[in-house]
Amino acid sequence: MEAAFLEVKNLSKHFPIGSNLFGKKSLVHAINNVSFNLYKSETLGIVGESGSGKSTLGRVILKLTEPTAGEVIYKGRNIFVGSEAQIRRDMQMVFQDPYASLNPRMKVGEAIAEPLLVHKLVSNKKQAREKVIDLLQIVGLQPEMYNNYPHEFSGGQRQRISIARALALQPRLLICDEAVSALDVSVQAQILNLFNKLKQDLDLTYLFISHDLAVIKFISTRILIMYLGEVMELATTAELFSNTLHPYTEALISAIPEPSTQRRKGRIILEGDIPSAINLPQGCKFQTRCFKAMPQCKTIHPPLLETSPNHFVRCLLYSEQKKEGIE
Amino acid sequence: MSELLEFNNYSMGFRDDDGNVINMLDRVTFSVKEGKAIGIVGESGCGKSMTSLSIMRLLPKSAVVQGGEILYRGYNLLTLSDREIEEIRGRDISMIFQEPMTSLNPVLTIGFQIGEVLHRHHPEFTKEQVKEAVIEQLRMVGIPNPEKRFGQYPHQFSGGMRQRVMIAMATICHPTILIADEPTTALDVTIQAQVLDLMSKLKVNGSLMLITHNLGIVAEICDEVVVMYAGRVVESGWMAEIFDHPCHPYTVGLMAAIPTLTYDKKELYSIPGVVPISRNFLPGCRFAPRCAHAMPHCATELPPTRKISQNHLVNCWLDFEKGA
Repeated sequence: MEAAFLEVKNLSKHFPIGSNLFGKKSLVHAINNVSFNLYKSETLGIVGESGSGKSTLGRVILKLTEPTAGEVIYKGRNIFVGSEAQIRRDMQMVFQDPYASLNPRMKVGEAIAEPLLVHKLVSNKKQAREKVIDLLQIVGLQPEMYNNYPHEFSGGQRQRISIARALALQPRLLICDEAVSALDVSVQAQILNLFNKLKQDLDLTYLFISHDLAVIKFISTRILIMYLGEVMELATTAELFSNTLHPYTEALISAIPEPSTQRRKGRIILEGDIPSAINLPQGCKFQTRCFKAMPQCKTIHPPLLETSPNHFVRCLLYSEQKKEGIE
Repeated sequence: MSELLEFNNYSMGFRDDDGNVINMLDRVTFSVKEGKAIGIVGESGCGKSMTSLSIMRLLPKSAVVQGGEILYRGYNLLTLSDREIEEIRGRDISMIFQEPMTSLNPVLTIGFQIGEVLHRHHPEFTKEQVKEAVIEQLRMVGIPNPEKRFGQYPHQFSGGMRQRVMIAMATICHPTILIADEPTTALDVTIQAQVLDLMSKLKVNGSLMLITHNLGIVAEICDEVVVMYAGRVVESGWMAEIFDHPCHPYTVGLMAAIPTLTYDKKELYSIPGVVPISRNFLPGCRFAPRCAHAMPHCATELPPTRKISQNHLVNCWLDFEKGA
């Protein structure tokens, strides 16, 4: 396989929270030892439920928060060392809530122009204006909307504005954190199609974070499944669905209600709740809810194994088959 | 099959600051049958939540009923006195809301909050009887260790468990109709699967009216479906018929716009434009500006109700062949 565009190596992020009666600090293990490669022009989908660490992962990669351990290699350099100007230009983020991520008192044209001026990509306001009008058209908005304020736009249009702003610096990687979750289905479809079109036109690489496996399946070329801060399974989209290995992935796929009258058989309903990231279970993180759990799962923490080329899984069921773990 | 709840040309709107009434729901007509689960689907602003709040008479102050009736076992819920509606609320018809975090009182125990409903409708029950019934109810909705949980407070429950508490509270008086407004939207998928499983088990005891934007959930537990758009019913009937042969261009578009696990789509169909707000509703078909099949008279004249089959109605100007 080609060289990685971005290498994530043993990344961990623990947040300290308050202290207990005896002055002992506890830690929220948001992400634990996450490693993967992101390849150029792919869309890597990251799926997980609340508390899986998927958003933290996106934020750490963008250097919005410092990691506890590990590194992210971009252009041969660890991004956590040295200046961030280049990283900020090459990597941009689209957030979930298009209502909260735009300044209500700023004209949308000015909001989009701001990164251009900050990074001195344009020399004057007139140039910036021309650039912004181009961007508005790229994301399917009219140039006349330059002077409007965010409240004059619908949710879908606001998300287009957020995308235009993210694209202003001509980034190579776009991290989308639940970028379509707040939208109605008919609008969500428009934005998903826009993401696909932009990817082709501008040769972008996406890291697409979502809780919705159906959305991820539609947009991604590869999928990474997270549970309680760990990578559970990583494979190409086709492989993940045709050859599902991890019991959690299996349960996740079967839990999604499908809008079809064909009854599916063998629905897996997991017992219990997602454990708290403060008190992580021993052994495999998923053993408390796993329907295939074995006695040894309670004690042995399974390594992430490559069971077939480019198909990684963290489960003891497969650890006998091949011994070449990454860990 | 008898109709338990009937909407007959029910219309309502909101009074704005100038005192003008702006129509929201327009001539909504459908019925909930005994022992059946009906799904009300639509996007935000289509009036699906207003439909359910109208049944419970929990509409905001600015709301104005503009006509029609909502019949429960033949009684018009809109003309009952406050006292009479209070008797029905919680006992005959009860409701589960989307947000289990905000619909429970944080300073009262779970046991007290569930027991309160039972006590309100059955004042003859002793304290012990109420407690016993509540614990039994908690057990039925799958809360482990109900004796201990009885005395705990909402913050000690997870999101999924709180939604189970809401279900326990809504079903303790064995209502004939349970209204669930987006009951799983705030939950994770694996927890949603647990709650849906519980709801389909409870369904056998009465009618269920499920309000959701998720067509997958409707396919999972509903027998019938009502598709709403901008305050009007656009298509209604048996779930299987509508999902297999959607007729209204909006329903067709909605189905095609959803990414699914079973079909590989290169590009999603997207309905052009956005959902209109009530101020801009057209006199004719409210979907006309976004419809690919719109004809000149669609925007000005109210579309007729067409009967595709015994169990499938569509409000549209297009001609549909039988069973198409």
